[in-house]
Amino acid sequence: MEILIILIPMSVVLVFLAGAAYLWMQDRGQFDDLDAAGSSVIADDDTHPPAI
Amino acid sequence: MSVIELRQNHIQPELCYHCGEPIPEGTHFTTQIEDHEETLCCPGCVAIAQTIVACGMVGFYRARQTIPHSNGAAIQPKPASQKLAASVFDSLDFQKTFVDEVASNPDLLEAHLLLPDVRCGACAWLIEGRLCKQTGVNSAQVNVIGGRLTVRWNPQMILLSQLVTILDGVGYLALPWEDSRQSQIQSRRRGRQGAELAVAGLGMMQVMMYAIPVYLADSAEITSGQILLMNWASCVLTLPVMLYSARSLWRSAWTAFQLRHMNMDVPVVMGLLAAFLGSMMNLLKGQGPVWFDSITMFVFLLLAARWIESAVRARALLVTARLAPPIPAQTLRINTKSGSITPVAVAALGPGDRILVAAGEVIPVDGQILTGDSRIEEALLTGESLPIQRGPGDWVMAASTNLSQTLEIRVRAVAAETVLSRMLRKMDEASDSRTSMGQLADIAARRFVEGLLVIAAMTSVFWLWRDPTQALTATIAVLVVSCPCALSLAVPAALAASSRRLAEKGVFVLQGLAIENLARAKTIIFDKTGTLTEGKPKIQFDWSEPTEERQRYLSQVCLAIEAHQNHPLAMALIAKIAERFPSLEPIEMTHLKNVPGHGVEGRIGLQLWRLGSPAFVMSLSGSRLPEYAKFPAAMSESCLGNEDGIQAWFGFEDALREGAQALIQRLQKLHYRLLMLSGDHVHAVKTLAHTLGIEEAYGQLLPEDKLAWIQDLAQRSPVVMVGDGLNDGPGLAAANVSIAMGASSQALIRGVDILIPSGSLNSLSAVLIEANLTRRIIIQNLIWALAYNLLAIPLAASGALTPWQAALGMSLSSLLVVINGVRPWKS
Repeated sequence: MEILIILIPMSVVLVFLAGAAYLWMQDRGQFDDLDAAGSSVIADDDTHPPAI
Repeated sequence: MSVIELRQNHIQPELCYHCGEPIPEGTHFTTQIEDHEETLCCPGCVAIAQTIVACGMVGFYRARQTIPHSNGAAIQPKPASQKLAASVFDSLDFQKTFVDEVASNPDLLEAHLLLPDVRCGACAWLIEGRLCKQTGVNSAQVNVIGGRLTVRWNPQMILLSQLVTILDGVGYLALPWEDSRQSQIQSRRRGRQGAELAVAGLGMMQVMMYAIPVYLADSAEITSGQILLMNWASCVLTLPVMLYSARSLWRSAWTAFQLRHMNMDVPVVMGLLAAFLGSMMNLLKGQGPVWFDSITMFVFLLLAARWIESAVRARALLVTARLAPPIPAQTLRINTKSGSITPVAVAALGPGDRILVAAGEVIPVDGQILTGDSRIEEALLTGESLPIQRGPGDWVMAASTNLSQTLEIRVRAVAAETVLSRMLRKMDEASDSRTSMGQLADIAARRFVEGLLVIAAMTSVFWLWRDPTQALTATIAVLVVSCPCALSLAVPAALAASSRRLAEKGVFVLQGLAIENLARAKTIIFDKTGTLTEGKPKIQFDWSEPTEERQRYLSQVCLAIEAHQNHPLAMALIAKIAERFPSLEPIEMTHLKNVPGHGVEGRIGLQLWRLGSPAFVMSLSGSRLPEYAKFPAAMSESCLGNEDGIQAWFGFEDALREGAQALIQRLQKLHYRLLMLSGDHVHAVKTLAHTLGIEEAYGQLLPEDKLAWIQDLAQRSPVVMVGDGLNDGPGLAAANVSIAMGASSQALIRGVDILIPSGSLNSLSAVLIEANLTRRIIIQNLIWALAYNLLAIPLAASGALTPWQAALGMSLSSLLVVINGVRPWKS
C-alpha cells in the first residue's frame, strides 16, 4: 500500500490538469453553442475560412 | 394577416419535409424529391435537400422512420420589422450599436446580426458556408435557437453592406442585434457559472474517491498515515471549490449580512465555514473527522440547480429577443439644405433632424409633426387601441404607428431619451422589485438561522459545563450537520425542474420566482379581448330603411368612416360590407375624428355622421334606439347615425376561444377568484362572463381604470394578470405575476413574467397546474429538510453522531430533495 504515497499526490495533480483543461476549453468558446455542433457534421469540408 | 389568424393556422401546421419544423406563414419553398414536390421551411433546408438529392442520397429520406418532430418551442412569431437598405449598414453611427473591434486581431471587425428567418441547422449550414467562401470574411457563426449571426470580417476588403446583400441573396433578412452587448455580458456570466460548476464537480468526484475508503476500510486495512494523506489531498481539492466555485455564495451572503436582510445563502455559508474550519482544525491536529466530501458535494449540487435554472431562462430570453423590436432601425431623413431624402439609421439621428414617416410605419423618434395630418395609434404607450388624429404642431412618440398619411417630423429625442425608453425602464424596475417579495425559502432561512444559533449556543454552554474539552467539537458538529443543504436546495431544485418542464410545453418563465408567486395567487384577472375570445367578431346588421339603395348608401358611409381604423370591430364591419356589396367605394368624407372610447365621426358635406357606441351616436340627434333594434344578449352594439337620427345598428359577437369554458370551470374548481376587466361594452362583457360563469366582470374600463383595479387588488392578495400584451402593458407590469398570451413585440413582454407565445389556453392551465405542483414540491422539500435537521441536530449536539453518519445524512438529504424536484410528476 506504500504506492498510495505516490498515487494520491498524482491524482491530485491530474484533477488540477483536468480542471485547467476545462477552463481553457471554456475560454476558447467550445461550450458557447452546443446546438451548432450537431449540424456541423453535414458541413462541407471546403468551407474553411480563407486565410487573410 | 392578423396574429389571430396566424395562431389558428398554427394549430395544424404543415411541417418541413427536411427538418420537421412548422412551415412559416407566407413562405413557399419547395424542391423535387423522387417525383414529389415537397414543401420545406427555409432556404437552408432547400439547399440541403437539393444537395442530398444531387449526391444520390435520396435513400436518406426513404430510410428515416419519422420526420424529426418539433417541440413547439420553435414556433416563433415573425418580427414585423421592415427590411433595411443595405447602405445603412455602412453608417458608422449605426454600427455603433452592434459592431465591435476584435481584440485579438485589430484588422477585423465583429458584427452581431439578428436573422429572424433562421429556423434550423440547415440554415446555419447555408449561411456559414456562403459567408465563409467570401474573401474578407474571417469567420461566421450562426446560433440557431436565437437566430443570431456573429460574423468577423476585414473592413478593408469587404463592406458590411455587401455581406448583408449576400445574406439577402440566399434568402435571409439581416437586422442589427442591438442587445448584443447585454447578451454578451450574460453569456460571459453563464460561462463563469459553468466554470465554477465544473470545478466543483471535479473537486466533488475526486474528494469522494478519497473519502469512501476512509469510511469503509477498517483500521487493519488502512494506516492512520494513509488516512492523513488522503485527508490532506481532499483539503487541497476542496480549496478551489471553497475559494473559486463558492464565491458567488460568499458574495451573496456578505451582501445579505451588510443589508441585514437574511437570505438562504447566510446559513449555507455558516455551515460551509463551520465544516471547513472544523475539518482544517482536525486535520492539523492529525485526528478527528473531516467533512471535505460533504462540502464539495453540497457546493456542486447547489450550483448545479442554479445553473440549470438560469440555462432554461437564458434560452427563454433568446427566444423572446427574436420578437419585433419596438422601433425600426432605419428611417428617411430630409436634408435641410438640398431637400433630398436618404435612408439613415435611427441611431444616427439627432434633435432637430427632419424625417419622413410613411403611412403604416412605426414612428422611430419622439418629435413634432411639421406637415401632414394622420391618425396615430399609440396602443403600445397609452394602451388606447383607437387611433388619434394628429396634425402639424402636435407631438408624436416613438413606437406609435402612423396609420393614414405620410408625416414630416422634427426629431426631439431618440433612443434612450424617448418616452418609450423611460416607460420600459419603469417597467423593468417594477418587475425587479417584485422578485424580492415573499420568498418561501428566505423566510424559512431566517427562522432556521435564529433557531440554529440558539441551539449551537446551548450546546456549547452545556458542554462547557459538562466537559470543556468536548465543547468545541460538539458545537462544530452541530453547525456542520445542520448545514442547510437540503433546505437551500429545496427551492432551486424545484424551480429548475419546473421551468424545464414548462419550456418543453412552449411556456417560457422569464422571471425565476414567477412560479412561486403564481402558486400563492388566488386571484386571476382576465382581459377579454384576445385572451378568452377569438377576437374576430361576427356581425349582425339592422337598417333603418329596408331599401337596397339606402343600405348601399349607408354601407358607403360606414366604409368611409371605418376605412383606416384597425380596431377589430371596424375591420369586421368592413369585411362584412365587402361580403354583401363587393367592390363598393367609400363615400367622400371630411373632418374624420376619433373620439377615444366612443367612436368615430366625420362630415359628408355639412352633415355630421357618427359611428360608435349607441350613447355617442344618439347624443347627436337626441333620438332613442327603437324597440325593435335589439340584438341577442351576447352581442355588443354599435350604431351609425347623423343629426336626423339613427340609421343602422350593428350587433357584434365574439366567439369563445377553444378551451375557454373548460379552463374557467377548472379554475373555479381550484377556488380561484376570477375577474374580467375589459375595455369593451359593459353589456357584452357581462354576457360573456355569464356564459363562462365568471361572477365579477367589468366593462368599458380605460387602461388607467384597469391599472387602478389591479393595483387595488394586488394590495390585498397576490394577483395574476392574463393579457394578450397589447393594451395591457401597464396592467401586466402592476400585477404580482403577469402572463402574456401570444406576443407581438419586445416592448410588450418587458413587464411580463411568463410568456406563452402560442397563446394556447391549454398552456395557461398547464402553467397554473405546474405552479401548484412546484409549490407542493417546495413545501415537501422544506418539511423534509426541517425534519432531517430536527433529527440530526440533537444527535450531533449529544455527540452521538459519527462523522461518516453525518456526511451520509447530509448527502442523502440533499439528494432526496433534488430527486423529489426532478422526478416526473403526474398532474
